[in-house]
Amino acid sequence: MSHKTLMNLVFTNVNNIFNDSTSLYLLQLTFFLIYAFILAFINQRLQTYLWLREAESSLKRLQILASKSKEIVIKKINEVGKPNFDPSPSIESFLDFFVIEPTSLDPYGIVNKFRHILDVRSERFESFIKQIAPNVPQNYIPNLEGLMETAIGLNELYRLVRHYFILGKKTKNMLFIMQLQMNLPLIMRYAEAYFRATHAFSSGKPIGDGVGALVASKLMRGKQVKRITNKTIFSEFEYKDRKLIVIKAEGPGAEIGEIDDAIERIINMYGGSVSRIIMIDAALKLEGEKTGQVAEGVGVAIGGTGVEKFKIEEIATKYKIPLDALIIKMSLEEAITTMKKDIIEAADDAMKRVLNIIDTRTSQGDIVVIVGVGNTMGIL
Amino acid sequence: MVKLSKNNVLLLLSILFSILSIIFLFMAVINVQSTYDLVNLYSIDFLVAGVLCMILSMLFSYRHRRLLSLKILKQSQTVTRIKCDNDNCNYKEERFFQEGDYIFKEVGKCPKCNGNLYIDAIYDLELKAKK
Repeated sequence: MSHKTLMNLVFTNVNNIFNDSTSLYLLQLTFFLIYAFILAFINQRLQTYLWLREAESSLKRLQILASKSKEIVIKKINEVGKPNFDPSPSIESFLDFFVIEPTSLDPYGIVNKFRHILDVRSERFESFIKQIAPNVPQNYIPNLEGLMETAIGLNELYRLVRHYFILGKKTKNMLFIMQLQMNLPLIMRYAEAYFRATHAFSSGKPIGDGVGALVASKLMRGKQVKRITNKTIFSEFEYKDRKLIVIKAEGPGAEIGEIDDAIERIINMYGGSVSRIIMIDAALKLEGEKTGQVAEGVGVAIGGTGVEKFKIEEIATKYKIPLDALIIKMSLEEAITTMKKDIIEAADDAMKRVLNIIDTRTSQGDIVVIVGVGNTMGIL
Repeated sequence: MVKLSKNNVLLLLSILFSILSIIFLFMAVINVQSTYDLVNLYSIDFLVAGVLCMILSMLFSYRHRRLLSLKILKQSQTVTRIKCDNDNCNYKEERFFQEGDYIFKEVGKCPKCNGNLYIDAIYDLELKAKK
């Protein structure tokens, strides 16, 4: 049978169905029944299937990102650490590294417990990097730590999404699948940001979070710099008959410093006679807000676990020192990826605002502590 | 012979089915206009074929976009801005970031006033998404 004859046969039969009113009625009834059946019984299954398909494609993307970030880590460690063994198995197992927070059943003393655990974590990271990259220069260790952290973050996201995906598939529970699907856009945004952060950390570029450190660095440029605590520096100089003490993490490695200890030490050094503390940090913007917008407020402008915040609040309260906070707004992606031009420009604006606060809210002879908070990677 | 990627195959299929859909729908309209009867001859067949092709075209287009969105990562280029530390000299240059660059690193002498050149800023310039 030729193709043309077959087509004619099909078309003629279809036409016969449509031309015959009984057949047409039956056809319409069949369609109605199929539609009613789909609506009544398959609707939810179909929806669940579509959600699962979407989650599966995001999961594949996450897997690619997690494995690529791991490759970047291995490549960088081989490049700068020059180990005489294959570091891949060690890196692979370290990707599952975790921290167990102290119990809050009895909250008394929890901050110190948390601090202790974070210190142990930090030491563990450093010793791991030294172990897998024995020839790495000391100033490059923080960058590798940051790189390792982004890879761990991506790996965690991947494992979390995979867990809910498999759980949803196994139980066919719409609630699990729906929760996963609804959260996926945000999870994927974070994952892409983490992946881009991997690139920033592997080449030591300044990241958005470092804008506070950049402002401090701009203020202390050309001045004598001393180390105050581990990985933290300060500079002391005169400005319009006031004594300014600028604190930041020691760059240009990916350090965040021990800002709380540094502030405590400075305040104790001057017997509590500090007139004002001004803190500058990057902060998450709300959607619709402009990146690089500088906002002013009061309080301790520092993120993280809250351990440092607690200590700074304690010492400021003890000596009744006013706390000014300057924040530079940006999205999470911008905070952990290479600095944008808007943020660089915002640093100049923030510096002017700091000097304005000093001019208007302090008097001659005052001691003012200015703290640039954030990761100082790529900033001296 | 040119080897097509999965992405391009999906795009071609999407275009092909949209063309077919337009042709079928056009033929259905012509048929109705010429006979003034909706169920006469092949008008229903053309309509069904047209709608089917449209659905297939949309499906392939969706798959293509999905695949593309997985491949696209915003491309960016990091720039290092160098300035002269002499306030009276306005010398400024920009170049691509090199590993080892950091803000306030001294990078040589100014060709204009022989002052010290330093890295004033390092930032990302976002380029158009690459397909």
